[in-house]
Amino acid sequence: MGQRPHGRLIQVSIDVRPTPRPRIIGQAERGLDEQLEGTMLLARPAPGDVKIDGNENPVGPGPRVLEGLLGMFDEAGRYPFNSDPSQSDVSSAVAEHVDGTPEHITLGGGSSEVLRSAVRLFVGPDRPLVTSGLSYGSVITAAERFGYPWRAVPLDAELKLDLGAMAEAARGAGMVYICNPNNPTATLHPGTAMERCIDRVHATSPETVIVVDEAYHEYVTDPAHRTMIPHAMERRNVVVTRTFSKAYGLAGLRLGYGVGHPETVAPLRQHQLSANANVLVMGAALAALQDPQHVERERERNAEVRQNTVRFFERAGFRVPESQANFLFVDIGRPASAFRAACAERNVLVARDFPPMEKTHCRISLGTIDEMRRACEVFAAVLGVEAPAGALQ
Amino acid sequence: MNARAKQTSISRRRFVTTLGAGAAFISARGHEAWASAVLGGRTTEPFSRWQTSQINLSSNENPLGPGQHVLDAMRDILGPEGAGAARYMFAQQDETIAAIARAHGVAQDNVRIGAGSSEILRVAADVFTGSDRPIVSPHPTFESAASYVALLGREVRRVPLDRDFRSDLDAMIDASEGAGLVIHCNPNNPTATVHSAASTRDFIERVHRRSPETTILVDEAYHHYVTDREYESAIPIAVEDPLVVVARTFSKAYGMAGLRVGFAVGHPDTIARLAEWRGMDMSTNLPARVGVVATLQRGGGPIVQEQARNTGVREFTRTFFRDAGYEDTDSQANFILVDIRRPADEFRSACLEQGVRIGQGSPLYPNHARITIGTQAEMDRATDVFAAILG
Repeated sequence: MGQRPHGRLIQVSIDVRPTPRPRIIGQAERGLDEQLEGTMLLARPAPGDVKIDGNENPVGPGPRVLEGLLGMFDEAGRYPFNSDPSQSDVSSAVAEHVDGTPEHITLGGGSSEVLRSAVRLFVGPDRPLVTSGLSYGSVITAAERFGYPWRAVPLDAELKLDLGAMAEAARGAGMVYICNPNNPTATLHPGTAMERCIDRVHATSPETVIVVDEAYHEYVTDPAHRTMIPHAMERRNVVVTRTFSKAYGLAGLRLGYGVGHPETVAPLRQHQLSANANVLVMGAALAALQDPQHVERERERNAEVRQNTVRFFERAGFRVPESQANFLFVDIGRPASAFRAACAERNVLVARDFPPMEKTHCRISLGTIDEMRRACEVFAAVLGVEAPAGALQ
Repeated sequence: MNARAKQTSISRRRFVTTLGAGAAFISARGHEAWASAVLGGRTTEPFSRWQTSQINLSSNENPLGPGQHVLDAMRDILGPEGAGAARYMFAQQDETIAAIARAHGVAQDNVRIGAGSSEILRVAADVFTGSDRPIVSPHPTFESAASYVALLGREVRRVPLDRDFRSDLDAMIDASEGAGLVIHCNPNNPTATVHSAASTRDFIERVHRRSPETTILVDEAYHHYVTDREYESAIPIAVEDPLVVVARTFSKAYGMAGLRVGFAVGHPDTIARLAEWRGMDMSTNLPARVGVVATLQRGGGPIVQEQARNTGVREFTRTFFRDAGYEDTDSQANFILVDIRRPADEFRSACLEQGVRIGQGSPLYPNHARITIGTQAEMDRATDVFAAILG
């Protein structure tokens, strides 16, 4: 199987929406390899590089989590269902964390595995996937792999998911994928908008499952944000995915989870490919859930860096959609590829292209404040602007 | 930390108070056995603790774990404060595949890794079967591939083992016509029996003749525990033959079951088909990948040692049962399947009551118990329990 052609990726425009109806994108046109977060697309850092390309937590999981992780070293030879603590302890702890029961939870090797299982289970040859024209691409990759059709709904003019158009496109769909906050745009829809969308899909297409990806939930500071987990536990057609890869600082350890109604989650669990939650991440996750202050501190740390970095770009004359995550999607007004290469030469690694916006926008993850000071100096030099005084405090 | 890691598992998996043999045949399993232990005042532990505080002979794990050098390498990559955990693991991807390829004398494009061989089996099952291309699987065997195919609503052809508890290769060949995938689990789980290199080679050729488009997956999870000299790995066949793929795991002899790494070896075209499944290279974790490199760097010596250790304890355990008059299959793995001439479920519950968790064999052999080979110390204790229960 050779490489699929890229290039004519998403043929949607975010500026012009001549018709409120979403365009249906043929499934054979494109491979979304580069849409998938991670894999070979993350640059291999050299020592001293500022690595802000993977939406990773730059400070790590913290000492208590590390201790929990190391405590599992003597369980390395045991399967996750035999170890002490075991996978069922993790399910229970996650359940408690979201005010549910273990029957509401499925664990996966990252939330990607849960998303893959969801596509396998909910989407089909005559039940397409509905996603956005610019969102986390894992679900499209999975749909293509299984030969299932999918529809990508263009973003709205503010670079936000067009929830109205997505709900409309959901008629007859197997699954609607809503990443909130959305990757790579970092934009958020408030709880009321999400609920309206869910209600609308349920009214017009009761068989469609809405999968809400809350990978960046822990980074949100907007008080209008609400998790959809309570709806997921109550309604058969809503599933929420979460991950320990972002604010919890455990991307390399691979743990995510799905939350839903027990009748929805049971088959999802069966579709998992393996006992993927390894014993190390289980110890780490249990410790992390017992230390909620760590995530709160990480949210505050990130919010401060975010505010500073946004101020830098705005003072330098570049627009940034409001970010509620640990990255920015900056309108640099020029192709991301040249910008990325120039930054890389100066040891700052920013993210890959995000078609169809790769000619104007670049995704920049938020490192530590020191890393962002260095990065912003490089950005100023590469973009040919004066470094705005006092932007990064 | 190192001291902790070195702590033997025996003390933690301590016995609950031993019951008298008379109380042995209580039909209790899992929660019921625990409830009975609580009511009898034999434990105050919550179920999950109780469940893991026993001699665990249920899952064919290596009781010694991966070894200190693996733990050291994993500790290293995490960094002093653990910040390494926060990074996606892709920088380590190539090293791990390169190390596996080197250790097995194959090229990197012959190798694909996944979260244990289970993930390899399930992905292969999905890729190679279809609505009109069933899976052929020995029965009983490790069910991961067949059960997934069933879950996908596709046809599963289960072929009963022969009278020696081995895959019935002739019957498998008959069943292979038009199949997408044939599973050859060698040694087979839960029967621990093996087919020779010559039989495997002949089997592959005959499946090709009978059904030229059928892929054969040779599951060699227990490869390192085989002592039969007639046996050989099918890896040399797999790298040449696009219709053969071998699954291996670090969960058994390498002692890394909790770390979740397995791999497939095959022709580059076959591996490329598995590789289309993008999730697979995302599912292994950073310390595990580094641990794999560390364990392979030590060469074959430690694995030969582990094989010898297992063979010795296996022989001890088999002798115990044979001396007591119970027949077992010809085990070529780190577990045995023994005919205890009474319901294995009841025996299992009785053992559980006394702090020894044995495995589940197969409903097809209701009087056979599957018992993992633990350490010698564990088997000393376990055989005492077996003797008491079996009378």
